[in-house]
Amino acid sequence: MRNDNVKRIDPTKNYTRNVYARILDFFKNLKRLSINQAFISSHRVLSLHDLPSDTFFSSTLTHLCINVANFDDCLYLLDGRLKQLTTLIVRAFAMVNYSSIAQNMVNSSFILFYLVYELLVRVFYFIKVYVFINISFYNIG
Amino acid sequence: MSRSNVHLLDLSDEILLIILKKLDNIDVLYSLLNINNERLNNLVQEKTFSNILNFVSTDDISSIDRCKLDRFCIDILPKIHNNVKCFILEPVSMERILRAADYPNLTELRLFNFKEEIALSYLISKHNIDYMMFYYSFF
Repeated sequence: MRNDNVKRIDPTKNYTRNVYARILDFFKNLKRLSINQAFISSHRVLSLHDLPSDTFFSSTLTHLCINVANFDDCLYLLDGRLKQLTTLIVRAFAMVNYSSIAQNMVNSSFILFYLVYELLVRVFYFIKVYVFINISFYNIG
Repeated sequence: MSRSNVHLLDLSDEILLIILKKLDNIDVLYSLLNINNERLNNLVQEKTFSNILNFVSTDDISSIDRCKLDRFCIDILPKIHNNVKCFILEPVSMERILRAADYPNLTELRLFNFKEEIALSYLISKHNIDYMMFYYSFF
């Protein structure tokens, strides 16, 4: 099941590399980036899992609005690669990428608690953080 | 009761500006720049008519037509290129518009239905861009 998951999100990796990462590489002074989709689509979401940590890196971006593949992509976004970020608006396509969560965290409410905790310890210097999660994926665990 | 004989062009510059500001910038430039009227020609070169240019049709019938686009790329954009701060574009016309002139003051790009295959490399004055917005209307 995990292999299926990885295969399914591959196109999003390409999109992340070819579009989102390239935009930040190319526009060296970009301060605000906003991706608005009328329909949330699984192949145009940002997915940073398994990509090098200098992917989607910026020292100027302060405002980001984007759709991500999983909740843990929020955590990747907040791992220091976007140094100046003060506003983050994120819509997560799914709750978790199961391959990235430790095997023993099978209890779903614990996963939620763990992810929210991980998010909160990273955002203390933020002005605004909005996270929208598609909770229906959450019951799988 | 006598009808007033005042024509549009008898109005003061200030009044004309107030009227023109109610219109879409693209329409103002397309209709009044480089026509045989020196006064209108000067008026519509005011920065306010070229700082935000929206080339995405809102009438949802078709994108900007060929002839209009030609006039913008050949005639209009090279005249007002220094004033443009924000472009609202879609794939079909994006490349021509961005290649038509240098835009030293362009800081904001809003792109509709951007496609992965479109190379970003032709974006001129890319170092000035500080705000990008993408809209996707399809799945």
